[in-house]
This record gives sequence, C-alpha cells and structure tokens, in this order.
Amino acid sequence: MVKAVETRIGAIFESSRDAVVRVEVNDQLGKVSGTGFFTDSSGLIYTLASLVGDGLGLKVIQGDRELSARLLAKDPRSGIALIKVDEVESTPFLLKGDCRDLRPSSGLVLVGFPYEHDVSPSFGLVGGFDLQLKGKFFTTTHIRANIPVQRGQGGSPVLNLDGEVVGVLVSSFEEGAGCYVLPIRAAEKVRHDYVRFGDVRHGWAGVTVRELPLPVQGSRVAIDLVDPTGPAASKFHTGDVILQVGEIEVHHPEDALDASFFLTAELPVDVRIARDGEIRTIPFLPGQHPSGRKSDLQALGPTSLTSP
Amino acid sequence: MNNDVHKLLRLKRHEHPTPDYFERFLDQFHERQRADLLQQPTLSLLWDRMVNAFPDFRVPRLAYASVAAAAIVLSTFILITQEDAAPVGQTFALNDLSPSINVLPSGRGDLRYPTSSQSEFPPHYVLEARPVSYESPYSF
Repeated sequence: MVKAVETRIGAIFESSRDAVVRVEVNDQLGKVSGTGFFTDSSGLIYTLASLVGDGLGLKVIQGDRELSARLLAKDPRSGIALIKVDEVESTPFLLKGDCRDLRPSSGLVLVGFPYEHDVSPSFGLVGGFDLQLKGKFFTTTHIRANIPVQRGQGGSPVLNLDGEVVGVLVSSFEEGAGCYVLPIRAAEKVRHDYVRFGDVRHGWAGVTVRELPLPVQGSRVAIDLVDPTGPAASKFHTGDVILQVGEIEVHHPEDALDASFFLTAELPVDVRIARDGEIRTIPFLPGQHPSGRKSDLQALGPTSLTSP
Repeated sequence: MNNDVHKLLRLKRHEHPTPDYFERFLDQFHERQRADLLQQPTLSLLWDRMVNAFPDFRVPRLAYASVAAAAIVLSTFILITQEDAAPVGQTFALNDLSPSINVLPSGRGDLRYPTSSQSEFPPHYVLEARPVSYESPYSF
C-alpha cells in the first residue's frame, strides 16, 4: 500500500517537475526567489504577486536554462501573478484539475523549490476548506493542506493524485507545518480576466447581506442593505434571499462572499433569488470592485497573451 | 518621688558586673555572628572566602563594563541569527491571527531586506502571499 503511494507520488513528481520553475527577481530592492509553474505551452506562468514586485529584473530558471520574463498582471486579492517567458517556442505545462472534487483526506502533492535546493516533492492531505481563520476572512475559500512547506516554495503548484494542478501554495501556518492553497479555479479567474479584458476585474454588487435565523429555499442569506449608488440598486431589494450567484449555490453568508470573488466587472451573471415567496432569476451586471478602483489591481505589459 | 530616684541612682553607682560577665558577652557575640553567617547566601559566602584567600584580588571597575558590553554583543548576534532563521512575514499571528499563519501584505517591498548590493546576499526565499482579506465579509 505504502509502496503504491510512493510509486504514485514519484510518477506525479517526474511528470510535473519540468513544468515547475524557479522565479527570481533581482532589482534595486534585493533578490527574491520563489516558485512558479507553466500553465500553458505559450510560456505563461502562475506565481505569487508578492514575489514579482514591479516585474523589474524578473527571470525564470527552468532546469539549466535561465529565461527572462515579464509581468503581465498581478492580483493582490488572490495573491496570484501572471508572468510570461517569450524566449521559448513551447513549454511543458500542468493540466488543471477540478478542486471541487477534493474532499478532506484527499491526497495532494506539492512540487516546488525550497530555499536554494532543486525542485522537490512534498506529500500531504486535504485538511479542509476554509473561508476564514480566527475572524479574518479570505477573499475566497482556500484549501487547508497538511503539507509541510518551506521558504522558496511560495507559488508552487499543488496537484491531486491524478497529477492535475488543483491549487497554488499561497501561505503557510504553524511555522510551515501546513499551508493554505488557493484553488486553481480562483487563479484561473485572474487569467480569464486578463485574457478577456487585459486586466484583472473583480466585480462588485454594492450589497450587504445578513444571516437569517431559518433558511428560505435552502438559503440563510438575505440582502440587508443595498448601496443606492451601486450596480445592485435597481435590481435587488432589502429582504431578497440569495439562492445562487452564477454557478455557485448560496446557503450561508460565506457562500455569498465566495461567489462574489468570481464576479467580474462588466460581465453579466445570473443571480437567483427568492422574493415575496417567488423564485426569480435576475440578470446582473457587476460594477468595478472598490479595490480595483483604488488601482490596487494591476495589469502590466503588452496584452499579447496567447490564450490556450 | 525624687528621693526614690536619687536612691536608685546611688545604688546603681555601686552596681558592678560579675567577673565572668565580659567573657560570656564575647562568647554570645561570637555565637550570634556565626548564626548570621549561616543565613547568608552560599554565593556570598564563597565570594567572601575567595576574597579572604586572595587578599590582593580586586575586580577592576572596567571589568563590569567589559562583561556588560560582551553580553550585549552576544545577545545581538543571537537575535540576528534567529531572525535569519525565522519564517518570513508578520506571523499573524500577525499575531492576532495566531496560531501563526504567516501573512505578508501585497507590497513586495515589505518582503525583503533593503540592500543596494544584492549580489552580496543570498536571495530572500518567498513562501507567503496574501491569504486573507480585510474587506467586510458580508458586503460585496
């Protein structure tokens, strides 16, 4: 049994290691090193927003090769950055899995660059799915993984036991005894925004919700306030019960928060609500998220990304 | 009343201690001195004995300053070493988020040691991004 797991992890590591790269930035502020991975054959790489800075002195080390790279976009809300190498015709890349298939105790393999060492595998299990920790909310649900991690591994891909990437390592806890993994679906939202609009466009509805004591149509989430100047003003009323936003069903306030991460400004989404005892589906056009209006989100460089 | 006092004083003038009084007094003094010695801390006793054994031994005033300076240098060295080995970021802990999830703000400038000659230093290895939001959770 253990031998079979060991063989499986070894196979996943060998098949993915070429698509995992060390990302280094060396600018006037110093030298920083982390991990990234190719997400398509055109040289597009996911890594950490906190690693890449302004994209100056950005380079990618793949095996013995050292490649210059440029920053396309970074999203502080998710912690993800998109960078790209142009010097190669085709790059190995990781296939994406569906993180919604994961369950507590699902096996995970992390492949990254700890400190100055060569690319290394780590193995662990899904511990759970968290939207908050000690009262601080994440921007979207994160995978809590019982995988020991070390410095330099930030931005590493986390794969399921089918060898598909299901998330990106974005944080550690308990001195690296475990880590939080951004689901690949959230990272893909950043990439899709960039491909479609040339920047990252988090959406905003302009509503405040509250938790109902008893569920209505399976949901405990009711609209409490509607910003009269926001995009929801003409669509929703106080007391509307939110049942579904886009593809995400809403049962608790946390679900609504999670769904709001996937809203894209100026991209229509259907919102299913219960109002006056009736279920209605309302087409809704989100506005620009306040963090985007503060130009916290950034898109940099030419928009010559090749969509896979 | 005054006559009584005068009588008493006259009697006291003729009062003398017995001949062995002074010998007993000296013995009692020595007994009390030993009892006090036994109540002193051991280190103090050892120090006194050392000073008695080496009557010429004196601690120069500058020695205390030297020892203090050495302690400061050693403490600084230990702190710097521990800082290098510690995980990046405000342990969130940010200390209000303990059990210590390590989190960094998005600005990369906060991640690194400011230096103008980067090649002299090893890279700063990154583990953290920004997993939490400070946005209002129920407003979106």
